[in-house]
Amino acid sequence: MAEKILYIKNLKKYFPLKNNQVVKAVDGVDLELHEGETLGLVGESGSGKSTIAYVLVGMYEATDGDIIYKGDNIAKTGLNRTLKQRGEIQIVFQDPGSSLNSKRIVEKSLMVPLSIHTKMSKADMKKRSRDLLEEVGLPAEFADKYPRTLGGGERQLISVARALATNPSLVILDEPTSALDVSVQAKVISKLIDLQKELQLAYLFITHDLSLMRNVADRVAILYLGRLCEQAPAADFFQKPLHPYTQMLLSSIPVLTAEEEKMKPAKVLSIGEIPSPVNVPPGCAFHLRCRYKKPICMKERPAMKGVSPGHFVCCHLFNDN
Amino acid sequence: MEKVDIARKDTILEVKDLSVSFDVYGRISHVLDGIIFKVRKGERVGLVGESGCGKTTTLKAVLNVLPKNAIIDRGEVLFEGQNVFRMKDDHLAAMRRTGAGMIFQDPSSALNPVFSIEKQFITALKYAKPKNTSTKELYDIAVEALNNVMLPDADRIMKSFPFQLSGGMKQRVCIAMTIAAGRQLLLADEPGTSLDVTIQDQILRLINKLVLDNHLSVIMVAHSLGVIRESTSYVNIMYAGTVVESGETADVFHNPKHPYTVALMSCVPKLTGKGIAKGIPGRVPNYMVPPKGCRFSPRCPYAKEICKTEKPPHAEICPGHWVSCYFANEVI
Repeated sequence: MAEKILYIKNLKKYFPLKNNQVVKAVDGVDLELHEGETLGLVGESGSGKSTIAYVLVGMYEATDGDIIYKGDNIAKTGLNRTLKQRGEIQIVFQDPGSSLNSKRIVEKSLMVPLSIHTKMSKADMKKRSRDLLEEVGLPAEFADKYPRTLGGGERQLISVARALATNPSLVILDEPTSALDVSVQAKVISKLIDLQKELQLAYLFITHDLSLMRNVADRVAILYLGRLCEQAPAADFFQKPLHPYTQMLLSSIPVLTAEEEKMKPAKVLSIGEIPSPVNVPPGCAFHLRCRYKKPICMKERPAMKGVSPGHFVCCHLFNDN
Repeated sequence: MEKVDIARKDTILEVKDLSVSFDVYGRISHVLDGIIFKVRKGERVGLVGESGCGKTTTLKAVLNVLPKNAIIDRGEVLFEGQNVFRMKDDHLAAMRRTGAGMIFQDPSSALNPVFSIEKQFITALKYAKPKNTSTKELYDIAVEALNNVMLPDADRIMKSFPFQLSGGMKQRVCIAMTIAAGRQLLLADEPGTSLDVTIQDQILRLINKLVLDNHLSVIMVAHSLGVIRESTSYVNIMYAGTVVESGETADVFHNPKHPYTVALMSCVPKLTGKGIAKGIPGRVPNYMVPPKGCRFSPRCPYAKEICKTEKPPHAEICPGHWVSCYFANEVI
């Protein structure tokens, strides 16, 4: 197995509100990531996916817990990390239209990380930014263009190029293709997969699209109200989903072929909505929507339990045997 | 058996050779080019295509609410046999109040944030119901409509403001408002796209149930092929302002014929996990100077000389399956 580069233990991020209430956006998450691996993080809106990403890149400080990245604990550093640590973990945001500066030509956007992280001369930076564009499969002429003159997929690839400027080993992809059409999404994803192989990148791939996850992730983790429900290798995960929430998610996906229809667990009709993270239900956070709930689910929070190698589930149904 | 059934149903909406362009500061953008489809009573028709292919423009044309700079080059939209572009104002208003209604993609912006649901709902109903209906009766109709969309505790919802409701609840309120007016045709413009997948599933199931129970018709617009497959009986695949393929949903998905449909389907990530396609080369054409012949020809791997110069007809290649491609039967 490749070297473990990231280890998240019992990560918590709370946001206090004015009226003494607390939003528990992330409430005790354990994850690990190996070199060159893609970990898919799936959840509905409000489940805390992006909060985890922002804590990892240092935009937020964790409330509690540890993030061990290559031996250093970076949970509480916020943006006060060493330059190297900042360069090692990069992020690509969902909407390239707003994450690229519309008043800057592409080259200038790409030169910002270079000027901070390297001691290159201006001419070298110009050359490097063109090389970066070619690395992500775009023509070097794009360097002189403004983002608005480019298509959505091209803009997203520029965001990827900018993330690669610091030679990171972990790239966080926060819904990188959900603003794009499927034909463009396919182009961006296949490029991302090529880049991963070429540069030995580890991806933390955040998405709500499970069909996409099936095709890009090595392992999948499901998040619900700031807690993990299930974590498993991708193939295993889609063949035998265990957590009732995972089953509901899978059976809600609209699919294209009869073959895929067979992969869905017997129709678990989706009911209810994700509760507010201010009032997380006691016990298992999912029990309000669960059809298998038992009295214990309302009182006690279930623990993560391994059911087969690499496959963990957090549900009372699997705690007994 | 189903085919005979559909054939007997009468047509509620017919769009014939609709071409719409826009005057953008003196330059003409040719967006829709010969849109053609029919909606029969009780039928669920899908319009599917990527962003910018003219799905929403088509819906706007159906309600005749195109922006001022739109030019209708040719074609007509017949709602219950009447051309909406020729209707008198009061007739048109009546058609919008009680005939066809839209369900929008984003329920947060479809509802007015400063009025309670009760106020908005009753105002909407006031115009749709006979003049002498009392406010109490309107309130009861609204509550019943909210119950029909599976919103429990309708009285509380009526008193709420939109920001107090979740996305799924707001969308249910919008659906209730559209149906309570007694409309026969729903224009659902990406009704689940802004919602989570489990909530989208609930909303689509709800629309299907309401349509089947009340014998309504619906035009379901979506960019997701999966949504269309699961919630329509007839589908029109659109590309760059043209309908490239149409037919019964099961048929089209099982046996796609147009090169664009085939390419699009291969781009959708599958649950079976067989990897990701490379995408469709090229870009959607510039509507200011659209390709002369088939609009997909610049990106089509099978394009021949004729595709570049002459627009292919929307031809029936086997019973009930229409394709706009010269080589539909040869290449695939």
